[in-house]
Amino acid sequence: MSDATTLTVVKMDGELDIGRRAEIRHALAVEGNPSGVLVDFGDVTYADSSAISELLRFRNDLNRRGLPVALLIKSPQFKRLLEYAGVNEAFAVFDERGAALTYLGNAAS
Amino acid sequence: MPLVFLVLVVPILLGGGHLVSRVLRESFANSDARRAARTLNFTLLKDQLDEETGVRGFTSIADPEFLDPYAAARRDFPGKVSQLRGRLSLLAIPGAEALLDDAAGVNGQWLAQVAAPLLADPHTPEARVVQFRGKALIDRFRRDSERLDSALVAREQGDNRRLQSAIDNVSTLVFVAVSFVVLLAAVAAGAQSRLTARLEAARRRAEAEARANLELRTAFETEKRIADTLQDAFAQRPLPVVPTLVFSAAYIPATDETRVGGDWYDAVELGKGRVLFSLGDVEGHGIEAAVNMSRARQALISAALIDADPAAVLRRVNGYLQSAGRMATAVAGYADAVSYEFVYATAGHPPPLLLLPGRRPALLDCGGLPLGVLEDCVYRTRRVQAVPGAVLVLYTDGAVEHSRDVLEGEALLVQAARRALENNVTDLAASIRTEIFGGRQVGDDVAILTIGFAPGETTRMTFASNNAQGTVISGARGVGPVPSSGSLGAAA
Amino acid sequence: MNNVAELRLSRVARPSAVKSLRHAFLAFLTANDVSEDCAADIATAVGEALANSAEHAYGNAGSGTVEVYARVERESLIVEVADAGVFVDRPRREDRGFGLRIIKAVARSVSIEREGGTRVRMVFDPRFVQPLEAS
Repeated sequence: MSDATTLTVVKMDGELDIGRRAEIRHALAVEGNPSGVLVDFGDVTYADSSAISELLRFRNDLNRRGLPVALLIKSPQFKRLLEYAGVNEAFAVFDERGAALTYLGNAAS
Repeated sequence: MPLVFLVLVVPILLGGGHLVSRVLRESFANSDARRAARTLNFTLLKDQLDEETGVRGFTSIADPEFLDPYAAARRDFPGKVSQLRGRLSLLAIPGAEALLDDAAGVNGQWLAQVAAPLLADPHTPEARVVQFRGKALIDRFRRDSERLDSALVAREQGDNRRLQSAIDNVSTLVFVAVSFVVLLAAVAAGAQSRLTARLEAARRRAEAEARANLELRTAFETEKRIADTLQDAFAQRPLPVVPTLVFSAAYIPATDETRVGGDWYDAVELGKGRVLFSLGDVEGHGIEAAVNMSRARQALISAALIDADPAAVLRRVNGYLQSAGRMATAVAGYADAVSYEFVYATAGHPPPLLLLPGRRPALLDCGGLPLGVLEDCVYRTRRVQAVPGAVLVLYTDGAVEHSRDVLEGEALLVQAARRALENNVTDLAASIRTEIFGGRQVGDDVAILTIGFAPGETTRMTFASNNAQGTVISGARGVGPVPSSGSLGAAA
Repeated sequence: MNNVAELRLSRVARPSAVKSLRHAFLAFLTANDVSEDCAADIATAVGEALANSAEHAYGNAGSGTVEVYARVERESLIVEVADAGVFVDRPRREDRGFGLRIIKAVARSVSIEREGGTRVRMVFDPRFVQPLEAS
């Protein structure tokens, strides 16, 4: 059982589109064995399918490693995007940090 | 090209030659006249001198024999003058004829003033004076003669010069003309060869393009043929013939062949009164989609034969598509003819439509992630209790995403399904398809599959198959009367 | 919707250009009084088509320009994204066809012509794009 304080937080802001794909992939390349990963996209204003692709890739990777993931998303466009792409059920999405952290805490234990 | 060369050069050469020959002829004619004129001129001078000598001799020695030169010259002189005059007029030397006239006049004067008196009286005491006067005349004659000769010489030189320059001119002209023509020929040949080279290059390019186009078209047509063949093979799956279960299906590939994609439907007997149904949509188009789709549906059937639980079936298909790197939506499950249940699971697929006799149609729960997206994805098996006469309608998104919005599309589908059921239509799927689309072109693949529990005690067997053009061939064999739809369940 | 009836833009199809084209398109939508949420979704859909162009056009010699053409017709918005490349349903191995799926979710209709380039034609009904309630 890993320590809740070894949570990894990945933060990105602005518009996550095809132009920043490599940056997204790099940011999501989480190493080690944290108790969970909080992906803080709270200040992301726009996302497209390349962000979704990277998120899924990241999700599958963490799945294999048995690490829980929470997405913090506030942008209505981003949330709708997940539904349009049909992948909203693939992620634990929260629009408030506390709820996300609670989820990760529960998931880790 | 050589022809043009000949056509241009020959006239030039001929013309030049003609010009030269004309000038030569002229100059020859001239030179004849000139020579004759000069000879005549000398002769006249000699004649005049002879006349003088004769008279002087006769005056010194009054012997007629000494008068012979005079007589001979006298006989010769006039004829010569007119001959010379003729030549001179031919030659048209300015002033020449005037000189001749003058000389002839002098001769006349001498004859009159000198010869005549002395011949009449050789011993006249005025002989010396007369002879002196005669000398002056002779000098004048001599001068005329010399001047005439000079003029003739000058003319000859002039003529020669003219001839030379004419020849030079013509030579130059011919040279220039020939050079020009040669240059022209060279330029034309060069241009033509350049032009030829350009035409050649253009022709090669056009050929290469045509070849490439042909290759592309051939490749496209080959792919299309393969896709058509695959679609044919995939579409023509006979539906199961199971007592108490009724199936119908319709498949319409997208009107634009390039958009034929990965839609499929299947219904397979699983035994124990269960029939598997599945309907899905693999992303992509063309052969790749068709191949992926075929493998996916095969994986689905295999999985169902092992474990009919729809969630487990979809899980297996998800595994396959994950490794294939392709995404798909699908609904899979089975109809249980013993318990009259529909058991199903969806993966990112539009909601199945349940038609219960006498009730309003209902869109069932759906959800789930599309297949091939998330490893280890968990799907949810749902169960619906149905009754005899109930029909489950499955469809791909092409059936609802054609109109204003999905809600309207769904509404159209629901309406079409209900109407088809009310009308006791034999082939539900075809009827639904027709009502939604009419004769309209289909933008996206559409697949429709209906699974129904036979109403009441009637056994209806329906066989439906579709060819790739989307026309439906179906036949039905009714055994026993078909009850009206109002006999089951409460009216809504 | 009667302010700016037509829009035509073209840029070299690079990922960085997608962003500016998308913003310009969003401005066009706003100028035509499309609500914020609808505009965001329509811009998303158009952005997917643009991104697709950038994905396959980028790095390809000679197929570099992507063009966006939009016009208002009655109450519909017709948008065409065209380039000289080949529309790829799945550009990379690890991707899925999300782009097309997203466009389908937002647009009333999508059609893709693949001959002599790629032309994605989308028809939107701004009044009927019902942004889903955020879950």
